[in-house]
Amino acid sequence: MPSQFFGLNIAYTGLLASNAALNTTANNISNVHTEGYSRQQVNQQAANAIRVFQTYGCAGAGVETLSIERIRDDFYDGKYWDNKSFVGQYDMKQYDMKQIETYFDDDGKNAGFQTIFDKFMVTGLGELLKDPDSATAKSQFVGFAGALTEYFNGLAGNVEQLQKDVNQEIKLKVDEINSLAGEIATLNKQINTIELAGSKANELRDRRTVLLDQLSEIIDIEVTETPITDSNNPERETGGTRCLVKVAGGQLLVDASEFRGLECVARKSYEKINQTDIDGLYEIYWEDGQRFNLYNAAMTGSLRGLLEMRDGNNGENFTGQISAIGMTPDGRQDTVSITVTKEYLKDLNKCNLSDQGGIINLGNQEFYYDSWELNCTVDGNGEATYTYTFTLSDHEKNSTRITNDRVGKVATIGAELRYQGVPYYMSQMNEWVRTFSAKFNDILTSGVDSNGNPGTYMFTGKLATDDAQFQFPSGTRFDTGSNFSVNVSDDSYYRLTAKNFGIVTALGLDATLLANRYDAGDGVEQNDLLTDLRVLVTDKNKLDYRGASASEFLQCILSDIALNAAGANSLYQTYKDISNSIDTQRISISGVDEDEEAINLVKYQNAYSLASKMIQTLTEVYDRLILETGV
Amino acid sequence: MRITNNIMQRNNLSNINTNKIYQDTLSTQMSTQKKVNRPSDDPVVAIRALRLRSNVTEITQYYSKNIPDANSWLNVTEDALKNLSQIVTNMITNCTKGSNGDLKSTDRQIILEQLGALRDEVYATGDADYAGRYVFTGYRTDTSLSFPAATTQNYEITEQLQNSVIDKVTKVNTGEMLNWNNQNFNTGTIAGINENQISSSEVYRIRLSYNNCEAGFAPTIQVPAKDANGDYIYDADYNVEYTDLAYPTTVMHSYDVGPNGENPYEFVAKNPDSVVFVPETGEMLLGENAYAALMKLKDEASTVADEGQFRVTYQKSDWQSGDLRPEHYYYCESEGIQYNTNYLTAAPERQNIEYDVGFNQTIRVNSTADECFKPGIGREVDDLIATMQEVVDIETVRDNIKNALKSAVGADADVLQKQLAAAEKAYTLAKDKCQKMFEGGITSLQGYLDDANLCITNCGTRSAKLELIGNRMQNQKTTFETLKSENEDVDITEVAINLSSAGLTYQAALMATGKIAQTTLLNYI
Repeated sequence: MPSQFFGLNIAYTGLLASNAALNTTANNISNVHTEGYSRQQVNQQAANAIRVFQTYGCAGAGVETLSIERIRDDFYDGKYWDNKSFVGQYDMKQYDMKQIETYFDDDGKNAGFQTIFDKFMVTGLGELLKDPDSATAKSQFVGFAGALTEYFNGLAGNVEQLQKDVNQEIKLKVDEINSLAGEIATLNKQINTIELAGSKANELRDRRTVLLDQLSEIIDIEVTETPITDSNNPERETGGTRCLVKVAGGQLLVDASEFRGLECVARKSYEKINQTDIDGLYEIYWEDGQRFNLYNAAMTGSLRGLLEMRDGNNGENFTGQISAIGMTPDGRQDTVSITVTKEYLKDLNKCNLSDQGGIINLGNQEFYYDSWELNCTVDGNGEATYTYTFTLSDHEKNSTRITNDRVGKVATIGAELRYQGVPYYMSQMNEWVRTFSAKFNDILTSGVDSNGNPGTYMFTGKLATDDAQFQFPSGTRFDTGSNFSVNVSDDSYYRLTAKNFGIVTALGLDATLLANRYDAGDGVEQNDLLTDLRVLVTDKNKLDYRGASASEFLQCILSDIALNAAGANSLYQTYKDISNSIDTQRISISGVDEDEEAINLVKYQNAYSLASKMIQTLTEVYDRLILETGV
Repeated sequence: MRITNNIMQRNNLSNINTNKIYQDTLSTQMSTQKKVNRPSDDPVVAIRALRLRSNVTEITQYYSKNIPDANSWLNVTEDALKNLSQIVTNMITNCTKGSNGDLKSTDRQIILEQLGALRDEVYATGDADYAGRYVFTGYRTDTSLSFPAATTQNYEITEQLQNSVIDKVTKVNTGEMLNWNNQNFNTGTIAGINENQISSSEVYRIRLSYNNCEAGFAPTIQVPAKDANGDYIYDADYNVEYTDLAYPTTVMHSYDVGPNGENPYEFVAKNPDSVVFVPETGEMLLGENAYAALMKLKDEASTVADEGQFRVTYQKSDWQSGDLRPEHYYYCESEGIQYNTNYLTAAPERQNIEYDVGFNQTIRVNSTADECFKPGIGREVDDLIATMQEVVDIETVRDNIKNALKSAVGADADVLQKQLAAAEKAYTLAKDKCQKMFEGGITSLQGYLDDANLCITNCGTRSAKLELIGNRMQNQKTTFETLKSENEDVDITEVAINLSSAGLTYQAALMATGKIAQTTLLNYI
């Protein structure tokens, strides 16, 4: 027989349980719009029954409140993070591609390449063809040519600025990773402090998930949480957990309460990879000095998107086989000769190799080089062999010397990044500028000007160091199809880029120096040379730019851009949609529903009222029993 | 699936946003009238638009600029050619008058004056210009057709001629007669003038394009070379090689006399092997044998060369105002510059100025002086004037002798009587020659008139062709503009309908969201 007052205790547990449940409901309702909040639920169970040694067996002892836990499915978090890193990656790409698209676009209103080039080669040349000796027509033509060079200067400047912006953003992203990693490590510690004491750190866990959501947008993450067991008794869980966060395909970033920071180090001017790169592009290192592999194929996230924009070279990095190792004639520096077979390395017009020295990877060991030279030798069968000879830097930069056992090994510079980023567009512009200038100048210099003097060339570039312009002496030509040897420091067309593209100063001052005919004996109205210029830009057999003619430059490059931009847009949209649907799934499980909470409110209020009623009823029972029964 | 109020709100918001994006796209299309706003919206349309815009620019250049310019050039040319045709016609009229045997000396004077004036005018017409550029001078639009002022500049000129140009010239040998006057008639050689001294000789000649040539340079005649088998010799470029004619040229001034006192014409008539160059008149006189050698050159069907051709190279340094500049006509060399080097090759290139008037379509806008303003016109008229002047001169001498005879007596009268007989003979011979020359002049001037008319016709044909091309370009322009518009411009009706239906959808979405977001169960507790 249980105590006469047992019922009062039972009702009391009900009152406690309802109270806890009402509080939890209040908490849920309060956090209905809190980001990352998971709804909480009171876990309760019937209290252990008391054996009362009666015929009817045990008597129920009321209710017991076990815990308040958040409702969450970690499976969806993992999926969300995997997907979120792609959202980040394509978000960056679609944003930056939109800029590139704006730079290159030509809709007839903003003067893009096609408009300017048509002004030059249709209107300008058209007028000049009709009146080949007119100083007005000539200076108009030269003026339009100037507009074309300025267009390329501006375009290259814009694209460079983009590379600079992207580089800055990479630094921001790296800082953000560091700050998030730090916060996550702190939270891990706090969670363990609470949970080792036996309760659940619901709010802290929610907060950690929000941080991981943010981190996953920047870089791909992989989160594992394992229970910590008692080392003396592996079966016993202590309640604490060890949370590991790995990034970029499995590199440890956070280990419980510790994290590894990343830092950005600007490349020096002699560490450039591409000719067109701006100074100070960032390399990333772990704080312990180890290099963080930027070009790790497993990496995704906005950091990846930014890197692909900054360094994407369409897979066209320098790569070849070491054929010989030697020394400079003065015996002070080592040289290494590398035979190349890639088409984009055989033609210097397409090449984008640093002209200020850089780092070359020779058989998996890195060396600094100061300069290089391209040699072409044609054998008796007409087979051409292309060999780059790099002059390696002295011992101040290279701690070890190159050894002969490297011969036959692979040499690379930079990484093969199969995306069309800034270096790709720069390289495309340079190829057009160089090919076009060389052929155009060749025609002009083979003719005579208005005064019967040999014609001057038109397109050149300005040296970065002073006001002088490139002269392009005949010994520096690399499009002759026969043996040649061109050093990077020569005044060759390789030095000409979209950025330094310009008009020969003399021609800008006096347009009559422009040649219009081949033979001085022919009259001034002879325009055979000008006709050849027109054929040059419209006939792809005369000037082949990516299988099209010179005037189709923008068609070629804009289709790259448009397709990349459209691809980035649609992939961004796709991943964002997937991300939304996973998030909906998460919210579906963890989110607070107002109707549900309203029901809970009514439910638990009723339970509370009932428990109170019970106490009241029992009070009346005691009243009857104590005051009125047997008195 | 458990749907919370937040999920509904999120979904609704996202749908409203999608609606707004669509409305934004449509209203951008509506306000820009373009289908694509960025190339990535539709790469195919964007790239095609580039090409079509380029085509429109090119056609605009052809249609709005090149065709009108070509047309003006053709008009200037045509006007000048019509003048030329008029002038040559007038020359022919005068020739017809001149070929009449019975002319009074006043008639002759008028004809002489008119021909002289017409001759001056003919090449002045050739200096027509279009916006400061001479139209008949080929590529040398900065150089006038004729020398504007007397100039001294040595040119070595090589004329490439057909042997059909060799003609026969009659020379009336008047001896000392033209030096006759009232004072000297009975002194020295003049006193001995008699009928027997007057004769006429007929010789073959090549009339070069210029008179007053350099006397210090003996011109060379070159003919196609043959090897031992009698086959023509070709050089590497398959041009026939030339070699000097077997008969060398000697230079004789018109006033020089030969070993037997003969003038150059008489000398050539008597020496069949001789070739004499008279620098004053620019004539190469050919002896019988030299003539025969040149006439032997003729075309062979089996060869590609034009063997009837031969070359004469001579020099000229003194240029009068109105003389044609040789660089517009011949291969020549002056002050170290070689002009028209390819005129002597198998494939001479004419200096045709071609304007681009369509895609891969050009039209020749100029006529060159060597087609219409030939040096022969002036030379022919010069010849005619000289001949008629000779008649006039002889007539004057004859009339003077007649007058002197009226008052003369004794021995003087005998001398004068003999002289009159000689003058009468010379007059008859000269008149005959003059009549023949003018008859011949009609024919050859008629040839030049035909040349001029042919050029006018060509100009007209080109103008007509240009007009056709212009029409076609206009059509093409419209076509390309239509294509361009179809490619990139929006169909307003379609966009307007889409826009209003998008507006409806948007309203509906807002309404639905508003209804849902307003209430929860809590409102009813």
